[in-house]
Parts: sequence; C-alpha cells; structure tokens
Amino acid sequence: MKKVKLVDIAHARSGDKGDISNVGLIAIDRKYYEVLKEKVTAERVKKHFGDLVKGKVIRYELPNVFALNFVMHGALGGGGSRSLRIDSLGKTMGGALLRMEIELDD
Amino acid sequence: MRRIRLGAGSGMWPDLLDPAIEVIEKGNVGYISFDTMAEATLPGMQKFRFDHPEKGYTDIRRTANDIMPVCFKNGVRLISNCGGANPEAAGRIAIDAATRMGLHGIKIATISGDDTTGNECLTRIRELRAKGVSLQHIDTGEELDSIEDRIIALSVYLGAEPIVGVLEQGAQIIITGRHTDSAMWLAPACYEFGWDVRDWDSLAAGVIIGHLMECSGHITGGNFSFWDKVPDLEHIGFPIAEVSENGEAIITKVEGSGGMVSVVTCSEQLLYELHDPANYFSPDVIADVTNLRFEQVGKDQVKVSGIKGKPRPDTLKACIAYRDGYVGEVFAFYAWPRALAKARKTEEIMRERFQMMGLEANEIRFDYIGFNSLHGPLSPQVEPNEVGLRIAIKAPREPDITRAIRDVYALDLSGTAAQTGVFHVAPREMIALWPTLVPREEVQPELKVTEIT
Repeated sequence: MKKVKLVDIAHARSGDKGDISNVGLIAIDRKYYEVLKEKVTAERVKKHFGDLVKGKVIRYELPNVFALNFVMHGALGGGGSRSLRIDSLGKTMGGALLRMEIELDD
Repeated sequence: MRRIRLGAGSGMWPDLLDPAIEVIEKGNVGYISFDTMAEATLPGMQKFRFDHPEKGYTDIRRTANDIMPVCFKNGVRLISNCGGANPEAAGRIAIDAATRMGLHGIKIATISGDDTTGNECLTRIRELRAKGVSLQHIDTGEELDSIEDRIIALSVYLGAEPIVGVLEQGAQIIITGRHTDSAMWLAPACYEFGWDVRDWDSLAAGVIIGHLMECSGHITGGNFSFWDKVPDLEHIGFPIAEVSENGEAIITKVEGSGGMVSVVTCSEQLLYELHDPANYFSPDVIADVTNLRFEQVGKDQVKVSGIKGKPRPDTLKACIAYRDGYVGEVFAFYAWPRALAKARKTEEIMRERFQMMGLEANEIRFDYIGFNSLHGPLSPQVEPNEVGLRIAIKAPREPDITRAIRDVYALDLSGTAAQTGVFHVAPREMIALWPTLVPREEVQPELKVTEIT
C-alpha cells in the first residue's frame, strides 16, 4: 500500500456555471481509471474541499475517456458575476483536487 | 462523404487576434465562429445597454474593422456573438464599417429579440409571470421576488435555428446576441448538410463539436495540464473542425502553427463546464457523450465520434441581470522578514478600523496572495518570502467602500514595517446573473439581413 497524490496519476480541467464548479479528473494512463473510480468518491471529494464547497458534490463517470467529473455546488462564492474570490471562476479548483491523497494497492 | 471546415476565432473577450486571422487566411475554412461572451460577460453588457441604450456589445469594433474585411476577402463566413446585449447596435456599426471600407456585395445579418432591458424587460417579466412562468432560480429554486426591484435586463439563450435562418438568406457576416456558444458551430453544419431539426444524433454531434471549439486555445494546448510539453505556445494556433455529413469530425489546426491537438487536449476540453455527460443541455438537443470516442488519426488531428442525442428541451435557458451592490479592492505587499505576520497584523488593524468607521458591508474578504488566496484552507502552511494582502469589500454604497480602502494607504506610515506597493481597484457596480428557464414558444428572435451595395 502506498499513498499517492492525485497529481501523480491524474490531470484535471476546471469549469464553472454560476456558483457550481466542475472538475474533470482524467487518468494520466488508462490503467489508473479503475483505482480513481474506486477511491475518489463524491463523499471523499466533498470532505477534501471542506469549507471551499458549501453544497453537494455529484460524481459522473466517463469511462470512455478515463475520467470522472465532479460537479460541486456552492463552490465559487456566489459565482463569476457575484463572487469576491480572486479565482471567481474556480480555474484552480482542479489543482486543489489534485492535492488529494489516496492509497494505491501495490 | 461531404465535409466542411469550421474555424474558431475567439473563446472569450478579449482573445488573441493573430490566431483568428491565421485560421481565416490559412485554415481553408468555410466558416469561422467567435465566442466573445463568458457567462459573466453578459450582465456587464446588459448594464452598459441599460445605462447607454446604444451600447451593450462586446468586440464589434475589432470584428468590424479587423476581421470582417479579411473574411470577406477570403470568402469565409463569420459568425460572432459580439452583439452581446445589443446586436442591433453592433449590426449598425458593422454596416457603417463595411460601407466605409467599400465591401460591396457583403451581406450582414443580426439576430436579436432574445433580449430586453429596462422597462421593456420588466414588462416582459410581468407578462411571463402572469402566464405562470415562475422564473425561479435554476439551481436554488429561489423565487424572483427576492431580486425583483433590482432587475435590469433579461436575455434568452437562443440556439442554431435563427443562425441557419440568416445563412439561408445568404448572410456572410452574422452578429448575434446571447446564443449558446455551441450553436455558432452547429448552425453552419445544419445549414450545409441540411440536418433536420429532429435529427437528434446529428444535432448532438454539432453541439459537442461546438463545445470543443468554443474556447479557442483550450483545445490546442492552451490551459493544458501538460503546458510545458506544448510546442510553440507563443504562436498557438486556434482549432479547426473538419465536420462530415454523418456528424463525425476531425479537430485540427493550421499546419505549422504552435500548440497541439491530442486525445488528451480534447479530453480536457470535453470535460470543461460539463455536468452530466448523458444529458448535455442545449436549446437544439440534449447531447449524450457517454459513448463518445476520441482517436488520434494524425499529427494534431483527433477524430471525434459516437455522440448521441435526445429530443430538445421545451424550455430555453435565460439570464436575468440584476444590480447587486458595489465591490472595491485594495492590495498591499510585505517581504521577509515575517511577511505573513505583518500581513496578518494589517488585517487586524483594518478590521478594527472598519468597525470604528461603522462600515456596513455585505461581505469583507481578506486574501493572502502568494500564500493561500487560491487554494484557501487546502494550502500548505509554508512561510512565504513575500505576501500580498488583498481586501475586497462588497457593500451597498460606493463612498463607504472608497473611505474604507483609503486607510490602507496610510498604513505605509502608521502600520507594520515596510508595507509597500499599495494600489486599489475603484468600487464598481456588481451586476449579478439569475439563471432561469423560459418556455420555448415565448421567444421570437428577429432576423435582419442587410446587403451593402
């Protein structure tokens, strides 16, 4: 068992719609998709973000592109047109998710 | 099988001009589409029009003066949403420019009717509510009453049909207001291939191709996780989609331009602003990308296929813009030794001073740039060499904000040690967006085509 940060096995792209941030998490190699699917659950992601994500987190699976998509509500301080955040569109949310650690079975 | 080539000229406002010109001159495209409006751009444009009825467009001057003549010369049709909240005014500017530049025979079209401001807008909203259209917030379900006295504009997201309509009338330069971005690539495909309005799979393919193309450099190596592996980012090329009649497409770019198109760049863009992959909503169709396939078929050439569609929704997404107070910001900088501690002390001082002056604010935010202003509580606790303190204040009254941020300057002399680089961003009015739904039959776009003789 070893711990890895998601940044070592995945890459991400962040998007926004209103106060909703979505992060697409893509395996850097298709062999990592199954472990991402198993370990990176919506609950874990919500816990990881703590106070940054005030609403629910929904996870969608895209096995055809080896990706998971996390749709996170209440994540952008009210959204692009209302937020006081420097990163009002949540461009750096993907990077923040890539900080998360999971356990990899050897 | 017939194919057409569609270019992308812009993904935001402002975007780079030279890659757009490169696509027009060297891309061998039949059409080039310009998305100049992010979600948050529209309320700003609506406010412009509210305050100045002749304004509310985005990039019309550059479009009319720098891009339109190049398109006309190269036989490329231009579609742009730079009409913003005032496509008719934008159209007039384009017509004047075409006349002045002697572009005889050019046909310029505007599509409006999706938008209203001021009193017209309030009347329209009252009419809709009288008919039982609730105009609730699409995400929270909140009722419109909470913002009703602050509304300034209403815009409905139109789809491909009106654009196809003006293409059928021979328009070469098309200026729209608030369409869904993807419609600007779906429409030429519909027009060229004669896709029926109920051919859900083809429409879905067009919408997803539009989704891939709508952010310019995003799919050709821009904003890419492996940015350091992207060749010649300095001369990034914008994307081109070679679309087949059966809805399959190859995403590529001008040969020799910088950047790259790979399955990985395409995957990142696919996920951008996506929610449920089985139900990607657009005015024209609901797209399903759960069986989408990307395949690298050549250098900087990715084939996309496998997209399916479901019947379009009965409602169209709309955005109501409303006044939401003012926001001002001030920045101050500190270096080693003890940069963070000095910034923290400044925060303490300013919190006390805001109390003393009785500042009535909706929200006051303190950020530590270089430390945790982007990742917040997820940032590692590492002592920075230098830090920028940012204070953002949202309040109902402009003068209160100005008065509050002024004191930070004085702390150069009366605050912590070696505070420097203080600057501020003057309070500006915040116009917020209220996303909602409007029944399709309530919207009648207006199409106008003008020929310059």
